[in-house]
Order: sequence, then structure tokens, then C-alpha cells
Amino acid sequence: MNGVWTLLAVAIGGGIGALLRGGAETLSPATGLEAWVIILLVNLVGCLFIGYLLVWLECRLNRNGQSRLHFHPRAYRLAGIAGLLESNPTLPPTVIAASDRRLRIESGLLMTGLLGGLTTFSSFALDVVMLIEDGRWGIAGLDAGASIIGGTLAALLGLELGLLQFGKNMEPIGE
Amino acid sequence: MTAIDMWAIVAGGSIGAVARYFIGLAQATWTTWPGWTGILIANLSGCLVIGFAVGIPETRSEQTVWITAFLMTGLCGALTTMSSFALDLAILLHARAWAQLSACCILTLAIGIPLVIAGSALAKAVLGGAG
Repeated sequence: MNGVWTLLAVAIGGGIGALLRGGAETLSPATGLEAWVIILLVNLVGCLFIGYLLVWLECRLNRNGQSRLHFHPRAYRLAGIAGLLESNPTLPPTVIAASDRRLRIESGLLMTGLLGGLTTFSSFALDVVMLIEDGRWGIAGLDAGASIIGGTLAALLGLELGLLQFGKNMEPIGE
Repeated sequence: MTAIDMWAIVAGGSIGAVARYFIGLAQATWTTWPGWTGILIANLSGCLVIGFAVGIPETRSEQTVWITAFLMTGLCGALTTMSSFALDLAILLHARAWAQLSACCILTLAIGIPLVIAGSALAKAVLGGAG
């Protein structure tokens, strides 16, 4: 049953995310921005939010000591959160299981669904191909560089912002 | 955007996101490959499908709803993702996993972009006569 709720969360998030991106694409004539610029901006916003969301969800709900933030150079800020970076034997298994369930559903809705549906790689790749077909090699390279490097930097910035906000004195819930 | 366009995008987006979720689940369950390969497979599949969609002969003339809204904006858009890809790159960067970082980046771009062209050529080869 748990899996069904996660799937539903992913589907709802994905539908809303895709609709938001579709809506943003229609702003092209009104804003004077070319289609590839809009996809680039939407992607960068999504990358920023996913870094922030990862920290928020892991700090609130990850209780099995296997956080994806383990490698972060400022992970020491997270060390005080029970069960986040090292599994905490004092946490009852039921708490860990309940947190895990919520993590799957919330991360399914917001990260896999909403942000995954909002951002896109295929439209970006199509834009690059169309720019190359038009002979605009420089713009194609700019789009690719700004998407990949800019997207990674945006995700890193999101992680930092999340750590600033949640990395200290975070009250773990569900205990 | 008409109401039909909107529902087509929502339907495509939901299916695409669920498909990407299953690809990630299958990768984590049945392979020992690094975590970023799930997103790689989803992104590469989406590139092939969006190329195919663009290559369908009626796309450029009539802009039919099911192709542009459902297939391209909705399904391909949600099947592929930039945010999880960038997050994977950020995590690999922090982990100083340089070989995996380059592999993830190069495989995604160097296969994804040609797959768009291949998908389009495939559609023209298969459906060209019907247009």
C-alpha cells in the first residue's frame, strides 16, 4: 500500500511540474525570451530547489544513518541530528520505519515528481539540436554550458542554503 | 493553452515521472551500477522519444496536441530531468568522485544529443511515407 501512495505522489507531482513548465513555455512571446532561454531558466530554478529540498527532507525525515549528505564537506553541521549521518540505536525501529515511509512519499511528490516534472533534459537536448541546425553553434554551446555547469552550481547553492537553514539546531520530528 | 493541452501535459507528465521513478527503482534493485545511472537511462530514453516526436511528419505542420503537449512537453519532459541530474553531479563533486562525475556528464551529453537526431531520423524513416 505504501508503494501505491508513493506512486500516486510521483504522478501528481510530475503532472503539476510538467504543467508549470508548459505554462512557462507559453510566456515566450510575452517576455520576448526565446524558448531555449525559458527552458534554461526553468531548469536552473528546479536545480536550486532540489538541493534545498534534499537537505530539508533528509534533516526532517532521514533516520537510518544513510543520508545522501554524508559526503558534504560541511556535514559536521548535520552531525547533531539523531540518525541522520550515523544510525542511532536509541531510535525505535517503528520511528525509523515511519520516517522512511514519509520520506518516500514526500520526496516522491516534491523531488521525483514536482521538480523532476518541472525540469527537463529532453527539451534542453532538443533546443541544442535546433540551435545547431540553425547554425547558431555559439548559442548552443552557451545553452549546454549554462545548463550543466549552471545547474550543478544552482544545486550546490541550494544545498548550501539548506544547510544554512536546517543544518544547525534542527529539531528532529517523530521522536 | 487550451484545457485539452493542459490535461494532455498533466497526463504525459504523470506518466513520465512514474516511468522515471520505475527506471530508478529497477536500477537500484537489479543492478550494482552507481545511483546516477538511473537518471542517465531516463534522460537518454527521453532524448530518443522527443527526437522521434519531432520527426513525426505531421508535427511541424499541424502541431497536433497529442504530440506537442502530451508526448513532448508532458511525457518526455517529465521522463527526463535536469534537477536530479544536476544534484547527482553536485553530490559526485562533493564526494570527489572525478571519474564518475566526468562519466555522468559526458555520457549524458554525448549520447543524449545524438539520440535526439537519431530519434528524428528514425521517425522520418518509419513514418515518412504517411506524412
